[in-house]
Amino acid sequence: MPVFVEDPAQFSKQRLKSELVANNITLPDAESKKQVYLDLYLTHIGQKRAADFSSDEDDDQVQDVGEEEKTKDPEMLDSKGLTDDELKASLLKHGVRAGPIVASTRAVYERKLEGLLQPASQPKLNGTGDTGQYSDSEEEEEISVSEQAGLETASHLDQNQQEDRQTGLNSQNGDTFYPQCFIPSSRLRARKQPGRWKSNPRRNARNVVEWCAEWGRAPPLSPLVLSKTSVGQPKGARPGVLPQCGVLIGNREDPSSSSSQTFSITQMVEEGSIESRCPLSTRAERERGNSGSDMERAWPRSHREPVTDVLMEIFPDTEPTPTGIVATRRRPIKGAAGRPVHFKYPDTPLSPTTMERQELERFLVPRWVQVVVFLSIVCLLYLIYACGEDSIDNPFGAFLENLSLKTGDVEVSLETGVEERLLLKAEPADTQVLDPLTGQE
Amino acid sequence: MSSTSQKHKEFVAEPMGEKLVMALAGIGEVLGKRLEEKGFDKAYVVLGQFLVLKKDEELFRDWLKDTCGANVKQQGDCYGCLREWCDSFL
Repeated sequence: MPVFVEDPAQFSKQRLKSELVANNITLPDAESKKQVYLDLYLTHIGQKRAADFSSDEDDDQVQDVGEEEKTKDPEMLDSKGLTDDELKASLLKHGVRAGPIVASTRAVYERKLEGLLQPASQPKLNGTGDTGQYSDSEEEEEISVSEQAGLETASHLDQNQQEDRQTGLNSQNGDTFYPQCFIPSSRLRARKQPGRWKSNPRRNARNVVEWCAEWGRAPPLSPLVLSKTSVGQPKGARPGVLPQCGVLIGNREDPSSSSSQTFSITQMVEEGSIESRCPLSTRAERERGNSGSDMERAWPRSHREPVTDVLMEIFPDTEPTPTGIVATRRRPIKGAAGRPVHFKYPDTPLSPTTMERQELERFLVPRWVQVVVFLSIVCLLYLIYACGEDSIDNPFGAFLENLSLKTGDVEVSLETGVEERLLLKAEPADTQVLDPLTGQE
Repeated sequence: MSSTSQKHKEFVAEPMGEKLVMALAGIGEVLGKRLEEKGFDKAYVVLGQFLVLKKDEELFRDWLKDTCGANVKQQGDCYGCLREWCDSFL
């Protein structure tokens, strides 16, 4: 739409071309002059543009000509027929404080008004459709909400499941999605022996599976149906319920099971995982060459624990499953959440620093050895000192004698009267010699 | 906080004066040409439109999309650029 009142003659050739194309008018030769385009433009589009012009003066005249036929429509849908003031008023009715409605802004406000009018009519239609499908029971409503919430993920999971089944990459899916959205494997089949269900009292929601399993065949409800599902009397008139059921049952062979409804996905998952895990756990113990990690070997161990591990319920696969779901499981917290500490934790890996220290210590001398050596050396030195003290004259006595002899020879050669001096010298020499010794000590 | 482009920073740093519409953030050559054909040849003209629409984000985005076919990101960039310019200089 033109924003300004424009003279087509001032359009560029390119612009004229685009306008012609937009109106499905065959273009003249590519090398035609602009005038040709202009003529075509004016003849075909000129009038239309005149009708679209949004100036105040032209509005009443042009719009009346162009859109008289729409008079039967209420003012609501005919935003183009409104004057600026009327448009502003209608916008105000919807709580929109519009700015000046000028040539350039009129289009925007018209669109806004139309946008405001449309959603008002749509919800009514949707509402009636929804209520017709679902019953009034509370549980069903709640469940339907949860189902719808899970619908997207379930359908998404379904696609993923089909893709990943053979590739076994469902660990990603399992890790990212909530458990309640987890699609149990196809082992979740109808049990032909209802009595088997009774054997495991801790399986509360098992009946859901059975009920769902039998849903497709529309048999009478078994007495084992839980109170949760008691409300969910199979009503054949509900097609909408859950393709989830069919999906959740892991691509079962029962497409008709999609007519079931009144159960929650969480129940389905728990049930399916529990009951499907039972046969698996025994098989898992036998099988060692699992595709999973070593943690999976721990699963049958922990399965012996009286308290069921939630993860095991969620991920019943310990073998290459049809669903291909493989999940590595974190180490269960022994002693936590009431789990008995049957098995000690394996040795925890040491920190890198301790490992390094251990490595180094192989080469370093042990401390106790160092202490012993130190003490032995100290003792040795003390002994040396003690021995030296006792026989201090012996090693040094000869040395002193030599000294005194030498000095004595020197003195004798000088004067005999110096004998006293010799003695004196000898003594201080001795004492002097001794002094260092004593000084040392 | 979303990062602003170099163009945005340059535009917001000073009065726009006679800058072309291509100087606006989010408006490149193609969009700029379309705006010029519609008559918005200078950035201040677009500013005028922005102000006439009372700086309303939704309206301005709609208008921009309708006028030159800007996508959501371009609309957002242009709107943010003009709004910030107005905060500083208006």
